[in-house]
Amino acid sequence: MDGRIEKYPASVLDAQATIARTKPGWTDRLARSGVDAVVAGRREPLAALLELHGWKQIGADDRALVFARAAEISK
Amino acid sequence: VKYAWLVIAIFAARFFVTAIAYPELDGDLAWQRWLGNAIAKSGAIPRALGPETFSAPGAPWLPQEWLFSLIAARCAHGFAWTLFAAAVAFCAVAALALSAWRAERRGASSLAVALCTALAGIAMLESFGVRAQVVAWPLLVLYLIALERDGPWLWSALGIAAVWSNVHASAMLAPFLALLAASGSWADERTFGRRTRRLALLVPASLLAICCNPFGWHLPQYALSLFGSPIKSFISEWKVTDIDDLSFAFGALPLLLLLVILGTRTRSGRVAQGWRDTLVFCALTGLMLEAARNVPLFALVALPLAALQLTGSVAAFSRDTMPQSLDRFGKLGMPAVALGLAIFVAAGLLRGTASSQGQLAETAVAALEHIPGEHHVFCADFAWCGFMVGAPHIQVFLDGRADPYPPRVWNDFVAIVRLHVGWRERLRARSVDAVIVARDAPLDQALAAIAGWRSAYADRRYRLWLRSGLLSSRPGRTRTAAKTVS
Repeated sequence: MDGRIEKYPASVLDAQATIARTKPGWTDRLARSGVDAVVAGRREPLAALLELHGWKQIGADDRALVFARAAEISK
Repeated sequence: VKYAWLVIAIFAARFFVTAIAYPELDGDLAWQRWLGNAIAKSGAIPRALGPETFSAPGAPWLPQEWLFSLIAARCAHGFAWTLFAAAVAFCAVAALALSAWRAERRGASSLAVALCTALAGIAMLESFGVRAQVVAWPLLVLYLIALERDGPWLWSALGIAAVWSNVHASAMLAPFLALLAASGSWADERTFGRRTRRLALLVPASLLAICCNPFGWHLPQYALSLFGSPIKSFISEWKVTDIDDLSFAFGALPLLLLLVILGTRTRSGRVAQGWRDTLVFCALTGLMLEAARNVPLFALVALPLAALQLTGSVAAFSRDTMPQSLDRFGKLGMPAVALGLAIFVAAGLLRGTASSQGQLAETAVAALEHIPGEHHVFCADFAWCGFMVGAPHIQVFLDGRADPYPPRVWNDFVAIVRLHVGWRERLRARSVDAVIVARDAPLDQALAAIAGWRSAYADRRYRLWLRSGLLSSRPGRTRTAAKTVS
């Protein structure tokens, strides 16, 4: 989703919050959502947890890190 | 104050129930009891962190709560504990009642006093607990009352300041309040008259008075150093006040708005607040906005000012009588009604105490204490480690004493809890071998995902992680100690 949050259904907002805040079940939501790349803040726990769950860091700047599923990279 | 008694009764019930029924809101009381016992045993107040921590042993420490801790240790169990907790609750009630009385004595109407007392009570709710700073609340109000006195009672402020400095470092406010009162008095009178001179003399005298404690001048020095301390950003109570703080949003902010909107003059153009009040009000407003822990102090100072302003500026509040129906209610005997109300509220609150049980990490802590060996424990909420300060065979990384720990320890703490880059290396470098964490928190998930850590205990809220080596090296003994409760 993007900044036009009022256009998205509640289920998408809920998934976004669950994944971004690494709430229980966030890995399942991420797997079901079809997402294959994640932009996470450098100092957010999500970044560390993505690495621990097998995502590979493919880019970075001063504020954020970009992750991709390891399977996507091998393709 | 007669109608304010009803309001005070409700808050009294809330404070007494909170203090007596479930006083251990965090691990602070645990380490304070440990400190009190250490003082009683050695006859000396420790001035540095000891082997109870492995991250910063030897770091300078000024245990400002020494007197509170000593009494808390002496009253650790049974009825003595109930009395102690009730005494702390009484301090909060006394602060609110004294502030309401101060408003009434200065001419505020009953209705205005009642409304502002309610707002001040709300502002005190979130900070309330069995804590040293609560004991300091009535001392602040008593000091302000003493400053308003003209005769020899003015000098009682010095005794109050001396007692205050043995209770809490907020005693540092005393000379500042005297300075503001003296400056305001000079601005109001436009002359350096007798009253201004006496208040001015009270400034250095109060400064000396707050040095009448075991730490001497180090106490005000310590209090001042906290203003610039980098660790403030790590402690929720010291964070900058914002609208998410309920005590601020529904208690202090309405008081602040009342005073800002109504100004300092009455409907008739008379000055309701002189410079003395205005300067003290502005200073406390600044303090409140600087840290959430100062919200109650602001409210206690603002209560009489807002009540006076309401009385002078809003017609509905200017009468000193309630509507007739309510006045008849008052004649029934306000103290009796207030007492009945307090009992009713307390009974309702007590019924809800069962739901608060099991919300602390005490059981996880107890599980660690039963696992043999020496443990270096890291608590994802540093206050939980307060339960383990001084426990045999356990050293904590960081605990609720908070301010003696140097910034490098805090940096590591935040990096580990928030999984910043290098968090695993920091855990290893600090030789942490036990972690207590809230279930499903990011750190809990991370420890579950990496090799080398095993869950040794879990309940509905918390989990205890141990380095695998620690468990595998003592398989027989650990099996009996480690348990899982789902």
